[in-house]
Amino acid sequence: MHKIVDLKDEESLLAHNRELAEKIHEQLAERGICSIDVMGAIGSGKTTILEKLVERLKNQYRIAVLAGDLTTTIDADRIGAHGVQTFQINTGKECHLDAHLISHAIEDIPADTNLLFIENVGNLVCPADFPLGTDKRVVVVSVTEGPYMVKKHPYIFGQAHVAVINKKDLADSMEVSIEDLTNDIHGINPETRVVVMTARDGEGIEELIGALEL
Amino acid sequence: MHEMSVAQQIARAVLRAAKREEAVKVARINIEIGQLTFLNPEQVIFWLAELFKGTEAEAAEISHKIVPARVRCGKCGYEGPLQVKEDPLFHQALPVFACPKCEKGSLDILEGRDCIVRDIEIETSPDGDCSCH
Repeated sequence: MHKIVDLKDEESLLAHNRELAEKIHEQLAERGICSIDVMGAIGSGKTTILEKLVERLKNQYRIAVLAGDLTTTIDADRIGAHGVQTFQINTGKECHLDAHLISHAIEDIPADTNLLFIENVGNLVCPADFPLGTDKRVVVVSVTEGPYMVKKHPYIFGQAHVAVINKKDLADSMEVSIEDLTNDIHGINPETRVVVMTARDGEGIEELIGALEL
Repeated sequence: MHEMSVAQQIARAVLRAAKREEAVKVARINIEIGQLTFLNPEQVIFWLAELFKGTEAEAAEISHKIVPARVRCGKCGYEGPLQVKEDPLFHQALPVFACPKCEKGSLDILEGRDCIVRDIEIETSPDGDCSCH
């Protein structure tokens, strides 16, 4: 006998992640923690930007940083050297952080924390499908990645509150137009705030802090 | 890039339902993939076929439907499809995360972010016979 079984109300992995992300968002709000997810490709400058941010903000906020990577504690160690609490999340083989990993990690952050940065795994694809429940999402693109990174990854830029265009000092030698990248971002989402930086030299850090409303 | 994790969850749902319904065979599986997910249907189906090897769903025909994005604007109340832009450089339409009506960006995504199994067609006894004795 043939029979059709309706399964559309079975649990969906992506929907489950979003529900968990909403719970995390509520928990963080209850604890008075402002939270920011920093995404971007491998080598775009996420860790350097976080180093500059925590150095500049550590006297105003009690900061904790969750650093996501497949393996090693290099990023957490680099940020931790600036005197803030850092926690490495090693995903092993997964290409993104998900809300489940974050729900456990936030149990470990100190009770008096009021600003949380999450450095996502270097990837412009998968993190777009897995919101983590943060107040803001930042995506970093650097000019060394070439002129088409924004257009090729519209989903992640479309869902970002702030987009950083990094390594401005190399734009001329890379023959990449910052103006074109900015137009690409605003073509996808006109509300996304664009901040141009040379993070290594600290250039643009005040604009980023302003864009993050910190 | 996370097709395998999603396929594993779909496979679990299918096999759980097959067991619950005492299926001897799963003949067809209909899945829905949201336009806004980063999932390649071909890869999802490839992993499903791999995961079903040696199970009652081994010979199932797997078909998929793309669920278009639907959004709601927090500012003007627009509800409907997402705006897309054609760019000759790319072989797919680029989504624009701005309200098609008021052009502001505060959109809630209502549909198009999931990958689910909508329904399955099963056989509950061999040779299509009813189990009436």
